Amino acid sequence: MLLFTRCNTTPKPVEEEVPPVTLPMKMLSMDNLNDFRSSGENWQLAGDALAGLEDESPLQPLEGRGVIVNVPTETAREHLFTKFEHGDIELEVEFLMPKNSNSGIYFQGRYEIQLFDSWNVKNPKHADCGGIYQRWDESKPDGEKGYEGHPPQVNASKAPGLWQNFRISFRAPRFDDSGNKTENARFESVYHNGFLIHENVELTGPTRSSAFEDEQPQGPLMIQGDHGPVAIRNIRYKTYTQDSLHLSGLQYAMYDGNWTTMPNLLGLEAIKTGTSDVLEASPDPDKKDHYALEYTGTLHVPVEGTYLFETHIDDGGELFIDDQLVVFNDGDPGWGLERGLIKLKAGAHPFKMTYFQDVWGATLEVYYEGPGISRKALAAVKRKSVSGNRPAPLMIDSLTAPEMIRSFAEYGDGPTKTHVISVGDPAGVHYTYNLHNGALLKVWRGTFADVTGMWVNRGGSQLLRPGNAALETTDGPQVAKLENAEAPWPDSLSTAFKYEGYEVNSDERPVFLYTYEGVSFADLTQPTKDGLFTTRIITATTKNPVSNLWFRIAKANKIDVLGDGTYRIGGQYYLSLSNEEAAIVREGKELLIPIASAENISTIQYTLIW
Amino acid sequence: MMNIKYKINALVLLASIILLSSSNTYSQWGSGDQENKFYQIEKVKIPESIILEVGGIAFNENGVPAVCTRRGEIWLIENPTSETPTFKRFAHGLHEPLGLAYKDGAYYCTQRGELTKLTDNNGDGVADSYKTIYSWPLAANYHEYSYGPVFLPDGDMLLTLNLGWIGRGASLSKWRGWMIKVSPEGEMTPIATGMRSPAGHTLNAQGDVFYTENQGDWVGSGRMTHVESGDFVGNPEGLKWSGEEGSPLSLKFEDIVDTLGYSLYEYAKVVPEIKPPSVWFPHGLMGISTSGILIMDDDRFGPFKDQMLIGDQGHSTIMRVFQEKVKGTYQGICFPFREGFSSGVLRLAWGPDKSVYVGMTSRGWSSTGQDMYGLERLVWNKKTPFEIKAVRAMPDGFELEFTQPVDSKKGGDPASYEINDFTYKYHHFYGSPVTDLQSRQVFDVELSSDNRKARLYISGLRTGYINEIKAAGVTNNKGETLLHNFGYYTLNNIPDGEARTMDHSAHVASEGTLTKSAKRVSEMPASWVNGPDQVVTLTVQAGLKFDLSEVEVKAGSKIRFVLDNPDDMLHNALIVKPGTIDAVAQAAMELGLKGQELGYVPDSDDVLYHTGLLQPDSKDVIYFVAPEIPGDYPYVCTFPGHAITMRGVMKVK
Repeated sequence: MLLFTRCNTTPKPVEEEVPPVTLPMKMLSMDNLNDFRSSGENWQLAGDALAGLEDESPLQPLEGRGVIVNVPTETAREHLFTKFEHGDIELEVEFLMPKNSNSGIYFQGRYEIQLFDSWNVKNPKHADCGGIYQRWDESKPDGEKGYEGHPPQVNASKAPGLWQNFRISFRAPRFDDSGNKTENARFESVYHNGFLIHENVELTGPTRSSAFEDEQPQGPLMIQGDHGPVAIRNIRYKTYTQDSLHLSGLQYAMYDGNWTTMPNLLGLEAIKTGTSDVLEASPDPDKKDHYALEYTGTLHVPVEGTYLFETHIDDGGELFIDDQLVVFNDGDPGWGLERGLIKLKAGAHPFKMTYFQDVWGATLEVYYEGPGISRKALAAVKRKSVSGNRPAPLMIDSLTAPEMIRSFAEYGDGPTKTHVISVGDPAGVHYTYNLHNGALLKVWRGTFADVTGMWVNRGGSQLLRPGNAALETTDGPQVAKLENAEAPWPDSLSTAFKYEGYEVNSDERPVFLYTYEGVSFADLTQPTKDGLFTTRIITATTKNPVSNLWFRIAKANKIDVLGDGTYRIGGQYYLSLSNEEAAIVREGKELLIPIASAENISTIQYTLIW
Repeated sequence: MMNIKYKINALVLLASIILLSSSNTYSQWGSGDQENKFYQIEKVKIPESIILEVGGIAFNENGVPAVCTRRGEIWLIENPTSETPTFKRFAHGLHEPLGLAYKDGAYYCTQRGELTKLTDNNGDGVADSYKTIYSWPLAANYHEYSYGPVFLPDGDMLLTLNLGWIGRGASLSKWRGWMIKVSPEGEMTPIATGMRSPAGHTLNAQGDVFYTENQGDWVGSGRMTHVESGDFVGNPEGLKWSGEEGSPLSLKFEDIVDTLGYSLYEYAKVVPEIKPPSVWFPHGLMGISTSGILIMDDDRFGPFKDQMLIGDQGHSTIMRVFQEKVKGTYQGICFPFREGFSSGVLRLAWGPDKSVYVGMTSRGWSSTGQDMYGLERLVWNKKTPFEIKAVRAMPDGFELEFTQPVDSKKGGDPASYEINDFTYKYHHFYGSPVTDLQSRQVFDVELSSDNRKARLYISGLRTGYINEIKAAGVTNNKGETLLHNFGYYTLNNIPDGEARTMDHSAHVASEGTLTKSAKRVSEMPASWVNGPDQVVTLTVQAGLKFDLSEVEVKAGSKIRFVLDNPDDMLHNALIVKPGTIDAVAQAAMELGLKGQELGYVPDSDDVLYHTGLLQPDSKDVIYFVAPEIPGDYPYVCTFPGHAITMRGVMKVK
């Protein structure tokens, strides 16, 4: 998307590499406990952790570094506090709960997001995983001591022994100069395994078992250590002050001309000049096409550091600070989004924004993020979108029979997938399948689908979103011919693969059909009998024996072989494979199984447990 | 016991309800009541739980209709004309299919990304096989709609692929903007390109293919074009793929030069691949978003054998088209036919009882008919209306054929007729104003011996121009006027033959211009030294609405009024005197061909202030002083078809 290769008179921008989408998060070291205050012996270091599904299964730390593990005992049961203190913070953290365990993350050591084994809990309470724990008033009568607990909107919990994650945006309480609280603390958003479970929840005070009785602008992050074992890794965060950038003395000059790339405005005579307090694409409502603008002003930077700028421009423009080109938006084919980084010292800096409009849409928006400064818009025009307020969500749930919906779908960080089908089941276990290559993409439990993006107004996104936290499984070609068991798995689909469509069986479920060089496949995914998990059955039929034909069941950065045909894939889910004797795990990252060479019909069957 | 005050209020309420319902007869041409005397609209009763946003209609061999919907379902409807039809869901999960066909026991539908064959193999009434015949890439852009399939006699199928939208139409993935042919085995052959929003296509009895196009970028107005392999029909985006294997044309995107001042017809003389339309539907007068085509194979629907019915999604209407071939090229005339459908007309299909099934949807686009979706039937009561049956080009004018004999005096008087001709510009802009409008003189009229035909002798005809043919003065011999007295004939060619000429032609150039009017002040008056007292901003919302249904201003205050149009259609805002909103909207509609050029602002004292007519993604700012007299001053968008929902009130206090 970024085109720094444009060869014209414009100087190259400051940074050569592709700028990030957001400024990097800070990471706590997981190789040692140096980022934490001294802790009890219950806190240890590990490389990974496992935990079984049965009652009494312990948390099993594995050798290595990168994970901190809590195994409390009678004598060692201390909490873990970070050395850093925070006010507003954006936090990402991964955690792994053994069966029946209990812990918590206390923001500022005071406000708890509960960590709990809530696997398969139907109606989560505040004390379930992801809940905002209740407050406690000891002086009240029994049964009324606990108050203001917030259960998660859905239970997005996974099975014991699987890595889960939170992404939390916390806003600290505000105080006046005399130290009186003027605003309550808030959890602005909490995502559990990628699904929103809390939005804008206000906290009137510290929750139960807070490490402090009072409230303060700053406080350390705390992980509860006295209730049960837990493994934690990948703690990333960004803390924010209340600083922002601002522009003063903003003026603009407008030029007339017919351009399709950013022109050189040097020497041209302005047809109009003016002052403005916003950066906008159309300061003159009568001039809609064929013009350029140059905004100049002073940018006031509160604190030194690296700033990330993001421009949304139609047709094109350049952002200069201190006469350096920070963001170059080239105007092809119309609307474009570009970013740029620049290191700035505190104080006033000359600011210049050039812009040109060819025809049609005209957009000029600048966003920024800075050191301890959350993402904001710079000198933006207040504007309502065409759709006005967010439409009420349109959900599909409470199915009485399997329901299929083709749509677009998101998957990982990659481009939108356009030929996918989602199948909802009355059992409450659902999946999304890639019709392009026959890959199972996602599975989830709970509400079937959010189709707001499909059937409200024009359905601008055409996205079907899972109705709960979805587990993403492995995309990519399912079947390949490998010269030998070590040959690399192809990235792209072979021309030998042909997707044919699907048939609906007597259970009203689709069976996907594809062929690969004379072998016919029938691919069925359905809930397990208990309605909790998903089983995939692939039947391969061939007239003639085939050799060297393999099926890739999973690919991940780590596959743990747990025995009896059970694997833990990427730490994210368990996979139970039938007839696993012929399956191989390659370099701990790929699980492959050969498609039986001697028989006419062979079956691959596996169950996903999460 | 009702007191008098309550009684009066009840009367007022009743009166306003009646007024509201009469404005809900979805009038476009105002001829609905008259049309109803010959063609009645009957609703197919749809259960409330079924969101029947019709994308396609097909009948099986038993005459049972199947409807595919934008929500991906196929419904079979038994006893559709009864009070309680039976709806059975045959299939579901399809991705916004916008076309359905039935052949040899199987259904075929075009989804966004795939042509699919659906069969019920075990006979339980539900599809159990969804076979992928052919699929194509998508760019995850919602505007990439796909239409069809239409079966060719040899069993192959024709599909058309809409462009994506990125603030303008764009061909974001392979073959968008093309008509393609697919065999039942999934072999694909690209046929033609230049399409933008090809919502309807069909074959006539001769096997010639026609498709309908919607006004937009590069497309001056709605139109229909005869498509042949290798044609380029106007929007250059699809040319991006002309170099792909199988493409029948080598014309490149860079070969098309923008804004030369040509019409598409004129540019076709320079670029031979261009196929100009056979029939134009002037925007706002003959619909605003042309859709499905239905051929009348015989006289089942009136004396209109071989003519076509064409739907319009935005105006909820059906138009009628007569075509002929002159010098080997199709050209013809469109007439109004029926207005008043309950939602946006997308698909037309013949029922076994020879009624026309009308499939409708308006989600995301709004339409004159206010329902979100619907299925209606248009039924002919066998009474023949008094209409212009056909218009044929002559070497020196036009010959009008009527469905009934005309009165000799009225029919033979040139003053009963009016001809104007005009064209549209071919450029990248969204739509085109009516261009080079002139009036043509009818210098003589000759009636046939049975008074069923009137030959008009006209001077100065221009090929490539669209002729507005009005016969307002014509009556039949019972003194009745025509049900519809106008049509638009696209004169691609003038036939050879002996031509009578006038001694001198009286050209009357009458072009409207949008003068800078006192009602649209774009610069802040210099006397406003402290700026405006108040800024009012209206933003257009998707679905033909303003974001604010009410604004409040102080009487006599200085107002800076901003109209923001982030939508992808043309809009304006007029502020009018209290109680005049419908009269002004009607007057704007009646501006006819001049409407667009005048920004749809009628010359009326009822109009107090107005913005310009805004292109998509643009805004306008005007300055005015709010009225001194408090009251409710309505504001409205007068672009044809928008006024019913795009309105609000400026409360002056």
